[in-house]
Amino acid sequence: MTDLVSDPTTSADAGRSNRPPRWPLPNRFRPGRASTPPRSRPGAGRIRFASAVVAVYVLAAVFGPRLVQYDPVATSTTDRLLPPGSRLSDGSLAVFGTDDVGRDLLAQIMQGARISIAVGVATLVLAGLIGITIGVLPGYFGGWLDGALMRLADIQLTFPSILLAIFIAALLGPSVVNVVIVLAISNWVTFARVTRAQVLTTKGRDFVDATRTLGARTWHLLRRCILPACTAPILVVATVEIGSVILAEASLSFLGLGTPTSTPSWGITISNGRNYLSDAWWISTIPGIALAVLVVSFGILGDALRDRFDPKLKNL
Amino acid sequence: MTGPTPHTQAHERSAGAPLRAAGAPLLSVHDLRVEFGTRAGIIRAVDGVSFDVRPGETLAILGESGSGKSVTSQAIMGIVPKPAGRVTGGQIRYRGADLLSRPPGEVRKLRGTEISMVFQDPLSSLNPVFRIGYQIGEMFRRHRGYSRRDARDAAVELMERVGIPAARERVDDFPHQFSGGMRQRIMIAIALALDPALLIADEPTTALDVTVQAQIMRLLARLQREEGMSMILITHDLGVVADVADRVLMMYAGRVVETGDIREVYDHSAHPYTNGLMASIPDLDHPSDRLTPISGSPPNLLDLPSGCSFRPRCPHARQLCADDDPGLYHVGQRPVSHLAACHFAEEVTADVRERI
Repeated sequence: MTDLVSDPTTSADAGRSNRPPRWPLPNRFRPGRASTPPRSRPGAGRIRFASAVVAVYVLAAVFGPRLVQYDPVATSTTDRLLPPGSRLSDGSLAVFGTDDVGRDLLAQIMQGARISIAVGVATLVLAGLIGITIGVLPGYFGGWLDGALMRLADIQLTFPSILLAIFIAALLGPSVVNVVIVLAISNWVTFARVTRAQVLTTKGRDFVDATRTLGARTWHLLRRCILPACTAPILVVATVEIGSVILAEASLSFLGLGTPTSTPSWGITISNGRNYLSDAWWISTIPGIALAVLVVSFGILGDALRDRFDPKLKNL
Repeated sequence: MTGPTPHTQAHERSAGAPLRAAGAPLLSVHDLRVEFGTRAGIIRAVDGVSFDVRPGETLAILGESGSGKSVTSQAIMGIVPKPAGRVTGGQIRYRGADLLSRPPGEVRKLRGTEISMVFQDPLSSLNPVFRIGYQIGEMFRRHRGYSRRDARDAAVELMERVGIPAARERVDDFPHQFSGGMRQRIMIAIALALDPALLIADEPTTALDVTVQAQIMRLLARLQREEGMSMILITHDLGVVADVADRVLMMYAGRVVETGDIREVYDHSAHPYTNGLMASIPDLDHPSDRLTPISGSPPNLLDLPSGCSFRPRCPHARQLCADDDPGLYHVGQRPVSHLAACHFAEEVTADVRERI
């Protein structure tokens, strides 16, 4: 690869002469074991960068609220609408400023990160369980149930998912658990389709037949042959989806259909700051930036993982 | 291993037919029919195939692509691709019990322990996500209840038996870290882990290069001798089976066209198809001679000719061949076990004798 890049006139075969490789060989490529050729791992830089950003968010979500106390019902009218970097009346520093009732925005955002990430992960687990079950079982056994569920998935895909979410959220009412249910219902389809596609290609492979000829039960085949083959694409889908789930949660909360107002999710903070955009821009803008950076990071991570694990999986 | 093993000495080739014929067949396939439904119509991939496999013997099933030899083995193992294919008739009796009419759970218990299979492509027949020591050991853990450590030791031992060098170091490698020949050895190790009485090898050397082919065939022959198991060897390579097989079953268009002891069939072929295959083997004494192919191409299974399926390609074909489908029958003046599905079998053998 390196040869081709540096000297485009060299043919691929000539490039693989007996010259020692010019790139430094990491220790993990043990010499003498012909099985592991050194090759560039696609997307390594992007994966590292995006994972680091996500890790910062996770750390902030886990430890932040312990360090900076946040009381959702406390008000401090003397400290309201202070810009970022101001001193509060109790002498502490408000790094991101305060909102319309004097609550510290940094504390609010860290609390919001907790909600966003928790909702995102819980939704993925629920949507993943539903989607993988629906993808694996009818995908493996086929039959009318498979057809019916896939048509249902097709129908649901024709709907804008946020519209569906708003509809269901309006019926269920605002609560964190309901948000998870709503988002899981509107996101299982992707998991089901990707899993099913992988199951269909895997179940025709020789090693599945070979395992069956060794006396394996169907359950054993699903667990040992089919599901392991699905992990990589499911992981990729999960990473791509979590960004959109977090965004959807924020949208629902912004519209007042997501988490209840007592729970400080990013959507609610952005919504609260909307009326003060002209004189206190930071209330909406800073949580918005926080949200955007997290979603973009998950997007980059998902793309990079896809490039590494399954370059064929272009349309999600 | 459960059940009696009357075949432990039957592998002595010199002891030969009388000893083997004495026991009941281990596997007896009778009038097996497998159909595949396609858009264009129903294909009879296997059409009334019958054969016996006796304890300790090697039966070679020979035939070109699409002759139904692999589907026959899939039917025995119960892995005919569903829903397109289905077994529509016949019996597959293993130690007297019909595998097709027994409950699936009961048949499943025979797989791996009594009947095992080695597949054509070792590259795709190992699970890519598990270490091979784990995959071999799984047989012992699931079927025998071995502990993890015991299963691993058994796996190493088995790897050594099938000739994998440095087995102890390689037991934790993944399938992709092995060469094709080594992977086929691993497949054989897994198939033989529980000492099955019958091994079905479906073109075990087709995906390997020639030098490795010979090694794998020698390995199979050695293991069979040591275990005294029966083997069904499916191949399209006449040379591969010549040294290994006791009997041969020639298939064409889903039917058996000739069967008998291997030397008998090779030296006195009584079906024009077998005859044509023999004639098409390159002659090492006169390597510059042109090859003698069988004219025409394999038949379209959707539109088989009337009468004998081989008729359009047959140099002996006459009106009778179009009118009447020849069943398998004993070839005159040859041993009783030699059967051929040709109206003019005697004439064909006579031709062969002239040629020699």
